[in-house]
Amino acid sequence: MSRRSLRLLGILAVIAALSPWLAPYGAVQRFDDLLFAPPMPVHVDGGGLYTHPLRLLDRLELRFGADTTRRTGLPWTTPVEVAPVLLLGADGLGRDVLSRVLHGARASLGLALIATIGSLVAGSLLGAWAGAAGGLVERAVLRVGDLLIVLPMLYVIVAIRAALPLVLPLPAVTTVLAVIFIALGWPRIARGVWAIVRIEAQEEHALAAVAAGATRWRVVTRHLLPACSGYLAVQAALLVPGFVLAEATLSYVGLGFPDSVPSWGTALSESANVGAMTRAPWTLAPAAAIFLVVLATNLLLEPSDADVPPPSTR
Amino acid sequence: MTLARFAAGRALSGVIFALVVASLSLLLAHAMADDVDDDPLAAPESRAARRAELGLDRPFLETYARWLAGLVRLDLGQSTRFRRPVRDLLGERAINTTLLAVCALLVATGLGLPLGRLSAVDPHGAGRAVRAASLAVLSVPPLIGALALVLIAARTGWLPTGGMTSREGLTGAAWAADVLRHLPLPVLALALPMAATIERLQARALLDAIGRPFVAASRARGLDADAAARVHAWPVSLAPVIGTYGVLVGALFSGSFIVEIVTAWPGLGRLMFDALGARDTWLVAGCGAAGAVALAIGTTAADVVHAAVDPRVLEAQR
Repeated sequence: MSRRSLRLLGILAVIAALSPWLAPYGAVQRFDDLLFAPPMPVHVDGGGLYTHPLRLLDRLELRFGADTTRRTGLPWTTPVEVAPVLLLGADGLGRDVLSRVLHGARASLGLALIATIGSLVAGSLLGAWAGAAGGLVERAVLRVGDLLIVLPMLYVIVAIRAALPLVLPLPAVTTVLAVIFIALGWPRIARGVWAIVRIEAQEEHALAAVAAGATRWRVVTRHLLPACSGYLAVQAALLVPGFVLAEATLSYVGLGFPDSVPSWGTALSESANVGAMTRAPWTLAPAAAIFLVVLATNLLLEPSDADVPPPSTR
Repeated sequence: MTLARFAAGRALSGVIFALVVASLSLLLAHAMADDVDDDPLAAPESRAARRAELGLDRPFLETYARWLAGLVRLDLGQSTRFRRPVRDLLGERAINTTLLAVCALLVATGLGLPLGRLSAVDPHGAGRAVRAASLAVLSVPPLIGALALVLIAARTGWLPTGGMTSREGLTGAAWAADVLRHLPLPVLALALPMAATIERLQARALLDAIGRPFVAASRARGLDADAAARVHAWPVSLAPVIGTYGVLVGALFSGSFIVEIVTAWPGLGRLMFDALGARDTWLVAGCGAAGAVALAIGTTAADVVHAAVDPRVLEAQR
């Protein structure tokens, strides 16, 4: 299971890194004649995949019809001058929703991955320190961690972010969000690592290392922490969707990334009012992207059907 | 250790928890009071006067002591945004959030327990469908669920898309009927992922209990599999499920924040969000304190109920 969760993280990292190049159009590229344009269905025939470009029928009501006399290829093969091809439709400013989702993956998944790695590092260092040092350090780390675990994460994130200056430059926003996420993500990791380290320290290989005169740092990093790798891999897979959701929530209420940055949260906040949502449900595509990330994690951590006992003979 | 002593201990740590979190929220509110003034062009003197009027010109420890003293008398100061006592605002909103949370917990339990039982007792028939559905629903966090339900409600017109009442001034039965129409949407958004969690916990716990020797013994005495699962295994399997309610209460709180925002439910989460945006110091601190108290009550109650149904919890405390 830990190898599968590492693979999932790898796939998400690749999507986050490559998505801006997969997007057919720019994140802020606007098609003024295609406000709230619906998704264009893809057709197949002997010549391959094609779509019909959209024609604006009524500018006031924003009604569109497919121009069946013309056909174009998929957006990646069709120059935008011929016709914009919007596979997932357009938002209220005439921007391609598919491109917005792909560009948004970088900010949303990137932030989640940074925060996950940070939480893993901070959590394992604090947990290992608590387990190896014992005494006051152990109590302090565990107590603070327990307090943070019980607190409802979203409330705390929103409260801390709202207490800081609301308008910040983008690098500062990213740093602030990552630091807040890490500050709330480490306790669970630390508790698990602490428990594993304490058990592992009684094992013969660790005792042998101590007897051979290894420093405490060496014992912890070379003999105790490696035992946590499986646990850390599973926890990483659990943290990523939580952080993706936290970013989406923060940006949705206007406390996350600024509107100029495409992310799943900012894209959702633009389609948040009931009127826009009802008229153009496809603008909720970022919500579907978040659903897919959470679903992928749950599938990964799900015991497979093979684990269910065979039917008993009654 | 007796149950009463256990409950007293949990209640005491609940009080300490609420006090710590309330103090932290006052610290947070005090820290952001620097830009309490909404008019950046105001003269420094009028700023200072305003800060003095709000009682923010004092050192933190003095403010803290006065606030704690006020807390005992349930006097939490005045909200600058709503121009009303914080206590009255918190009272109204806390009831709304509690209504939402309790309904969501009931719906989640009412769906989760029977479906979990079904999925464990019949893992290859109906259980397969239940497991697939619960996996899908588990992946719909309250933010996504609330957006999807609002979309469905808006397109079909079956339910109102937001708020708690359609218009002001309703009373009695008309008010209750109106609230009942507004309730399902936020409750479902909150309850469905939680029901999936409970379903999975119940299924796993029941499978675990069915494998125990006492169930095999009852089968050996001639009880059929369904009856053995229902009469002997199921009550035992409830204990670990109830044990997770303490954690679920925290998740319920987190989820209710975003559900209240999306569906415009006038609860504590929305109030705190408005207070933060308006830099309403005493209201922020009050919301933090109210939230901490609610959370402490919820987790303490869950722990005590868990100890009441599972004697091993008390034994482990020795």
